[in-house]
Amino acid sequence: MELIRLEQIRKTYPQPQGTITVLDGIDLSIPTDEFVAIVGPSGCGKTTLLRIINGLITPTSGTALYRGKPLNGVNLGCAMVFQSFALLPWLTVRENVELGPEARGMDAEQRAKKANFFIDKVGLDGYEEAYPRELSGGMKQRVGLARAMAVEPELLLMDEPFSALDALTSVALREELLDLWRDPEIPLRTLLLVTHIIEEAVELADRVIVLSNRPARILKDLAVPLKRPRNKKSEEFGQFVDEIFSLIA
Amino acid sequence: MEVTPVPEVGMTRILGLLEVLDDHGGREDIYRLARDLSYEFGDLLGVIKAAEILRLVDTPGGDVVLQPLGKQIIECDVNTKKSLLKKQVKAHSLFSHFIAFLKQQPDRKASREEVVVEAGRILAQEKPLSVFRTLVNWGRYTELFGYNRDDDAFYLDSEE
Repeated sequence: MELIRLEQIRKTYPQPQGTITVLDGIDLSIPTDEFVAIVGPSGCGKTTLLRIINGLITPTSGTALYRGKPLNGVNLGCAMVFQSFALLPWLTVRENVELGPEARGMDAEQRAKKANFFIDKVGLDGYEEAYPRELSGGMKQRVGLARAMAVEPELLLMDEPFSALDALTSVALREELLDLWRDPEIPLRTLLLVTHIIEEAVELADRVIVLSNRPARILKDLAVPLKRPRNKKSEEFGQFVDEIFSLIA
Repeated sequence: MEVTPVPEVGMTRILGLLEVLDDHGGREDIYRLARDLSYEFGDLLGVIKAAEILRLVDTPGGDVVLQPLGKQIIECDVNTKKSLLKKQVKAHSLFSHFIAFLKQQPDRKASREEVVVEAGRILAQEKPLSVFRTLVNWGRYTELFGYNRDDDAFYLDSEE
């Protein structure tokens, strides 16, 4: 089943010195049950593409379809995890997690149930009454993940979710993300990750879309042939990373 | 029993260290590991020390070696992970001291100030606020202690 189809997506922004083209001729299909990563140089337009899929911005030209229908406004089939966590500092962990379900109109009992479930799944039991300022970056991103998953999206969008974290924290969270994806109790099957870290894309995804410098075009759409769990120290892993690096460089 | 300090290191970093060591075949030179991770050497030593205190790694010579419990922790689900870590945390003198301390308090609760004063009394060489933050962070992760900022209550989990 095809979840997302992008056809000849182009996005431009008018500037005083002339029009800037961010995306140019993007064709992309994302089926259900796939973990897709988009990699490309910083500032190439990856986040813009993610925002078009989320319905937060409209393309200048081209068509964005969700389940075969043109996107018109915010895509309620998606939830987003942000690099900067985007937590509300005056709310506790539990209240932040409940925000997503609340915005989708769930009643108090239902959203408390959802929040409890996902707080448990991401390992935040014990932190329910903590405020974001009391949390480390890793714990904040767990809240971001729980909040996004609590609306049970068909497609989870992640915009550089581990880039603001130190190396050890991001390693731990990447493993936990894979555990969540494999967890049969969580209806999270389709993921779209945007990252500028090639190793992260190869470690996590089934498929890697490589974008060029701005204006972004798709340079290559690669299936990752490595079995899971992936050994980041293996020769095959290194070769695949090198192949993508040579495309971008 | 003498109370010994623990470095102020988050649990997620400790878990990340275990994953990285596993990727490196279970053993790595500490200096090389810091370089590979682009990690400040002193920061990495703090994480390794914390993992060693919890008996998840060993540090023979200049190496850091994943221990069977560390390997077990990265292979289990999140709640088992927390439960195994709780056992290790409870066994540490700092945490066992504060378990006993809270059991002596009315409603098994103490204010932040009371905990900070006690931390300063038993660990005079350490920064008491740093000790408090570690008690809260490790305590929350392992569900041993809780802290409610609104009520200024540091408390023992109901199951203890």
